[in-house]
Amino acid sequence: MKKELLLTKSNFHKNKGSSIGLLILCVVSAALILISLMLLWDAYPTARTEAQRLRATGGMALLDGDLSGIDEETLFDMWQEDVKTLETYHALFPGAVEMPFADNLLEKGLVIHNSEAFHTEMNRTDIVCSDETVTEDYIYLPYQFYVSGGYKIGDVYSFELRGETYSYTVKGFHNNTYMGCSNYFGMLFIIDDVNYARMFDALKADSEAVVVNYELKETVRPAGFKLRAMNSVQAKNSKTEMEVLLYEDAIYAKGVMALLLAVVFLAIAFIVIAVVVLILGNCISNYIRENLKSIGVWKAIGYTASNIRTSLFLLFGSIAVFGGVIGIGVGYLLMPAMAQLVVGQMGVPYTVSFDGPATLAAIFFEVLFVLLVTAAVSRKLKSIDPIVALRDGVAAHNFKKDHVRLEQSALPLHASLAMKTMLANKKQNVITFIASVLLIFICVFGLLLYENFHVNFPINFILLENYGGEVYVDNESREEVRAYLESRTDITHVRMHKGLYLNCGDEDALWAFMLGDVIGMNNQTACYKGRLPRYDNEIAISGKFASDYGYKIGDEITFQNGNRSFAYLITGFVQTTNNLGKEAVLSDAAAKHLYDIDNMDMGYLFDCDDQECVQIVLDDCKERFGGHILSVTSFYELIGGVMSVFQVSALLILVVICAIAVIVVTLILSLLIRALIYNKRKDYGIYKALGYTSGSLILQTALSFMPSVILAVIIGSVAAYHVTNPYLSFVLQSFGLMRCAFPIPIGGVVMVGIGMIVVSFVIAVLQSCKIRKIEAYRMLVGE
Amino acid sequence: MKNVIETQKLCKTFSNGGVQQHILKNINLEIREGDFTVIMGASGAGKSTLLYALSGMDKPTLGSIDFDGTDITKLNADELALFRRKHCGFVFQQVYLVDSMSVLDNVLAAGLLTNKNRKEVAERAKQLLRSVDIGEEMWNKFPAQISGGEAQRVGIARALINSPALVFADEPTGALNSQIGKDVLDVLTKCNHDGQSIVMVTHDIRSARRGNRIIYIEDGKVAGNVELGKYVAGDKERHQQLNDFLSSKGW
Repeated sequence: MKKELLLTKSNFHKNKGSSIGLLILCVVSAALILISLMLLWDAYPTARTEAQRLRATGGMALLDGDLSGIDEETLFDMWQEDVKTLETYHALFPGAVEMPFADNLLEKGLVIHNSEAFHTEMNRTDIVCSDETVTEDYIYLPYQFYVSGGYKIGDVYSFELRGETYSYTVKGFHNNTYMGCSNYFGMLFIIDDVNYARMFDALKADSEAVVVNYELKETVRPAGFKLRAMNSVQAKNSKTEMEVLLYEDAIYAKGVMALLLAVVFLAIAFIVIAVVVLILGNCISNYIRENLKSIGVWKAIGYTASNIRTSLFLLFGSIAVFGGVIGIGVGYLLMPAMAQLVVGQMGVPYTVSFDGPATLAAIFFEVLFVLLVTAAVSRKLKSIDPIVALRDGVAAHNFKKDHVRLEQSALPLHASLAMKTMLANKKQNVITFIASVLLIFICVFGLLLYENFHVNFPINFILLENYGGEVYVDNESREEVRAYLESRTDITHVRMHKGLYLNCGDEDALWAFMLGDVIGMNNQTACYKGRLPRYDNEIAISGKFASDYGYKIGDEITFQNGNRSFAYLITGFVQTTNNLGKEAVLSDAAAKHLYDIDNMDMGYLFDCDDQECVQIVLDDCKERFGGHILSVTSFYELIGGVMSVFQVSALLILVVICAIAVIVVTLILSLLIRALIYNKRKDYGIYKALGYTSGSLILQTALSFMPSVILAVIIGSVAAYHVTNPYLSFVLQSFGLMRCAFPIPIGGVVMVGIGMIVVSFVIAVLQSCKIRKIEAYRMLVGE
Repeated sequence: MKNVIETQKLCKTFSNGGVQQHILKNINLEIREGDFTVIMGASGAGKSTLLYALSGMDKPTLGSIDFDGTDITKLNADELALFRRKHCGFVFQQVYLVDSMSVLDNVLAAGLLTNKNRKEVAERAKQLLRSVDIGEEMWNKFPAQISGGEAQRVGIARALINSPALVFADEPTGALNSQIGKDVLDVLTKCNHDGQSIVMVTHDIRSARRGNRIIYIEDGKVAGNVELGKYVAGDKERHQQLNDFLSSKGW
């Protein structure tokens, strides 16, 4: 082993530049792998472990409306087949409320309670942080308001309820499994006992609710319990409204962004590893070429090929281990920022701690990839004869064709010579091309996330279609409101809308978008497969639900509501990430088979030019129809509130991707150009002797890499434009997004491409500046 | 005859591990237009160092070099490169053609630096290649596909492509066998007879005979020089004169 160590030491000294370049690439990839795995294995499960700690692994139900006959004993009697235990308490549930959040309004269900909320047996609410000096007129907000909402202890928090403004000092932040995440059902505000009593008296008439925390028996399927519980309550009192929040739904909704982030980072990490593999392969080939004479000497004095290969394994293996260790350090340094994002999405406290499996896995994969590539590329050492190596190998120029003849070339002299250099270095240019295509791909990927989750959130992502606003009106005035909206010239696509539960047997249910005039939807691609329903016996269901239960287009599916039942023909599959991917679309005529929709409150969706126009319409409706308007929604504001937590992530991902792209391009070009200059140092000496200036040679060298970069940018941009959505669909299939069609801004892609070309050129020029150090005289006299 | 180069107190010192080696010591000399000047001397005397200093390829430590009215010691690296492309041609012992370029392109790569007219340069390159006995069938071959002598003749064509004031030749026959070396020397001699000024470094007496002026360098100094007149093959008196000169220098 001593021999190999000596060789390794010698190899490292001879290849310091390449070794350092590879080390940096290893650092980047190890950091990315660690971050991805920590998000996946450590951060993502936090919502679940916290729920277990808070004894919230059963579920929560919320009953409001007419609560007569509803009490803890009755509920237990009704549900005793399914639940092990349950507890109830009364609180206020004024429904969906617009609450200030991160300079926007977040419209979510709101439960208001007092300090008793901290004393439940199940589904406990924990104080994350508080200021005990605040003793009156205070409020505990969900932890997400601290990490994403921009509030801190001591701030005054105000919100509007039934026309009244309530203001409290923020005493602290709490953590609750079912109420505290903008991705899920709603929020829990805990206010001081005095103010709560006052508010309860004022609002109990229409907002009193019974909150039920329950624990299910081990054999009970939660979705089935949900249906049975809702049916039993309906049977007990048909005027009682009920929401059943399931544990898995809550955990999924809270963790989905952490999972998405992890998947995105893993996807980027694999691309970076692909680049590392390419570069490493090239480095080893270069190493063999540059050190052919030394290899000949070693072989001549008795070193075997396997001695030399072992020294390469030691060198590159050490680089991988060192890079891995540093990368892990970098990963742990960056993790708090990532954790902040994850916490921002989940609303669950999470602190970064050492994660053994993720740490070991990151190093293991790093070293494994590097050793595999080293093994594959260094095999050629076996076939090198010492005598051939001592003679510095055999000239390996391809003499078959002189592609750019100076006499005939239409290009200027330096460009022609750059082309010659390019064609003489095909392998390096192919590597540059592949790496640039991959980098363009991840940049476009980041751009897509930035455009759709930071700049223009596609409303159809959550609503199947693009709308500006919605007016929710009582049954008495719905036709009037509809006529009024349709009469306005500043709005389009007025469409009836109501969310309905469709029970599928006793075990599962879909959340259905009942829409008027489905055929006129402005997003006819809402169905990624098949078509939207046209007739009253048709329905489109989510692809994820269909694949879970084995439904195909053309199958019949039977839904129930109470005593009613109807078999619908499945016409298409819609995609959704909401409601655990269990959604459906049907027309108003189709919904009539199960619901008496003519006598229901109704929502009217509409679209118009901008946020201001939406606000004018909503204000006009409120003024004209007063109390008949049950709620209004500006989707611009809604999206602003919901998306504020995603915006930071999207921006951060774009910044990280761009930084990685620049680092990787820099390293690739440094390594390749360094090798090129080394291999062609004699030619550069000749050129200089002939009178070529350093500047012209630097330009030639930099230009020789540009065709492959430009070609990669063109091909990569076009390919990425078309491939990113399918790639995202592949990655996000398990989240319910079966066919992504996120808009990608062409301008942005062009800018990314131009940026890549400019950055590559600048880096190539900077790297080629080493040519200045080549002195014709010393090169020619062999110094 | 006009002087193309005049040096004043030219010195070159190399430092190696703190040890200073004075390779050239106060050299004053002139290179005349139209001459075939040969620089001779023992190994390590500083012949090549002097040649590369005179041609602007290497910078002297002290002193001045007036090359056609320009003190080239005051030029920076890029200015020297521009100067070399216009005024100097080089023929090296190891030939130094660019391996990845065809024979014709090797010559054009030098010619197109000073003349953008591609057709004109190509015509001159072909004419030069023919004049050094490199036929059309070889123009698109690569350096590794031709013999050492042919490669050196291509190197001479390349050196002449820009009609330089001086061609600097560093042991041009050093890597060739005697017959091929003679052919190369014939080409250089013919060029000189056609008016091309040449400075050649050699330690081979047969090569030195081609010069009309021999400068002998010893221990970094000009130890003497001799005028032989134009080369005429088989001129024994001229050969004897050179032998006597070299003998007097301990050759």
